[in-house]
Amino acid sequence: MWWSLYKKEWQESLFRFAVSLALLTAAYVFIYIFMERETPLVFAVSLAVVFLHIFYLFIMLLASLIKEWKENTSHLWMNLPVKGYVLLSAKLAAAFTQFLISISYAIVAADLILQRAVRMFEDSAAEGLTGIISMLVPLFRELIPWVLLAVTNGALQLGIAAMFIFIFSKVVRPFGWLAAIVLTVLTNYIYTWIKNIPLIERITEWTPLLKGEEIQEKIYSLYPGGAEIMDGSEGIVTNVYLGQIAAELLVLAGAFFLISWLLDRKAEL
Amino acid sequence: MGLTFDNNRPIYLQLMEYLYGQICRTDLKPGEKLPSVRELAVKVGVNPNTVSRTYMEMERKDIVVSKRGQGTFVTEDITVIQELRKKIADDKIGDFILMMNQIGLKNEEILQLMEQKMASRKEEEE
Amino acid sequence: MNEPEIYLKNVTKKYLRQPALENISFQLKGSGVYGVLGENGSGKTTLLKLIAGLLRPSSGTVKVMHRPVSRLSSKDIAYLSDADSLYSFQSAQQLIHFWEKVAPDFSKDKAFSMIRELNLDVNMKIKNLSKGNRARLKLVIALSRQVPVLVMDEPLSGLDPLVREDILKLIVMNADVEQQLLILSTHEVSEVEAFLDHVIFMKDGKCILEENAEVLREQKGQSLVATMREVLA
Repeated sequence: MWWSLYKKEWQESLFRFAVSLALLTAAYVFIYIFMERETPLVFAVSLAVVFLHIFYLFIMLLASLIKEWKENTSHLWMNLPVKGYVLLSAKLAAAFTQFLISISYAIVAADLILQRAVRMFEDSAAEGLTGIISMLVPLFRELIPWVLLAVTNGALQLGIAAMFIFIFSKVVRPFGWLAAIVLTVLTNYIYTWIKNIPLIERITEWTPLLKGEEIQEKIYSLYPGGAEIMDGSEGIVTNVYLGQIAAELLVLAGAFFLISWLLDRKAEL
Repeated sequence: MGLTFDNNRPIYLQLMEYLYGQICRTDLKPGEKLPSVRELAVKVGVNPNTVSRTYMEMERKDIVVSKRGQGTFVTEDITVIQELRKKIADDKIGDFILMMNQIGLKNEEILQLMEQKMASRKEEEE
Repeated sequence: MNEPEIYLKNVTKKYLRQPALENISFQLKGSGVYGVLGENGSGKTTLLKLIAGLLRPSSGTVKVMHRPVSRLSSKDIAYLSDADSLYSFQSAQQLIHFWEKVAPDFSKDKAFSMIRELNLDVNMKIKNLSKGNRARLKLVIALSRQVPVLVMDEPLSGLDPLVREDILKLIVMNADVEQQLLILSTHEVSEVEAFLDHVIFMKDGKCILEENAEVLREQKGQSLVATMREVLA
């Protein structure tokens, strides 16, 4: 049952996915070729790529849901004798699979681009900088899982927000979407506040996966000058805990089931 | 779709008259199976429930019998069919005489007209 | 299958402040074909969507099979929209396999036998089918569901006369009207006259008459078309 829905979502979104991959490929080629000119455009394009990935689930889920209503297939979709969480998870999973493919592609592209950048700078860089340049690629490779984790977390949050905003617009009419945006921002604000309560921090800070200090040490060992630059900014070095990730996922799952409930019980065609 | 109905009268009654005609003419022979509810519904262009109701009414009047799981059959009791034919004829003739009386014909005149008509029809056939 | 039942009590539906339905109450019990008749804009579509659990009443209760309706009532209700509601990227074959997997009550065999009778090309993408064939295919899906309640919103509107006749035939042949409750809306009464067991006349969001079709013909000695003209005047 679920697989059929998942397949249907893939089929439906394939064109959008292909377009986004094509656009990204153009972006990577552009960066790869034009980076030696050091135009600010390269920087802008790179930033756009990162943002596209953070907003990937948001855009794709919203597009999928809007299309469902715009093309009247919602009449059929809403009448499927299937629980809301199954319908929505199929959409989420299809978009998430595409997100993973897209971001893997982005990482490979970034790696290649970085290698070329390193080769370029090695020839021209000043004496003291060769050290830091030579460690860029290994550092990138070591840190990329954590970047991936952060981007995925952000993308998931935004994806859930997109579903909430859309479904809520079908619960409260008109301007349900506006109310939903306000609610989302408010919830996020409260959530951040709760996360930073010392008690909550203590509850969630278990099983550290990434120790910020170790990373810092590593950087300093490669580039001793860094310690001086970073001096006095110890506060920004934080750890990533398994507990935090679990809490984050739990909250997302809760929001997801709330949205499913809204779809089943409150949403209108 | 084969039959046109007068939508001003209940359809099940009209369908019953149509089937009675078939039975009396022995287009549907004693003991013969009637079409299934669905078949007849599609054939004459009505709702299957209307056909069911028609069959039920006919069964109540012993013109047909339904056998569980097999369908509905015309009764094998020929006297019932003969009586049905007689009753329909009786009703129709009664209506006919009433109508003729209403346009001022006396019974003898009606008989005379009938005989003339019958004779001319016989000639046409020959 | 349990005996189908639809129950409405003091149902009002407003869009913003504009009432679309006003204080509707009736109970439909048992199988058969129920026609919701009325002019365009009389609230037929809103009524059917409420029954199918796709809209919520502003006040009042809608129950199907003794339970308040919601989207989840779709396990008891097959809803046929008046819109082009099929996924255009699927083929008929994919559509049927999709439904077989998604709806436990869906009879694949029934669907394919209807498709064969209609001579539809199962491999053609739905977007390439003619309008009439899309309407037929949509109907095949609804009729292949073995659920107590079938809700059909204007199954005939916007189609050629020949297609309309075909679609009526398809419904009569394949709706299990001895077990299922089929409720359909139309503004063309004459075409469905002979198919209805029961009629619900709608005007300006109100239900003005709800009666058995044969009883109406018997009592009034006139066709439903004439009765409709009378009560909607």
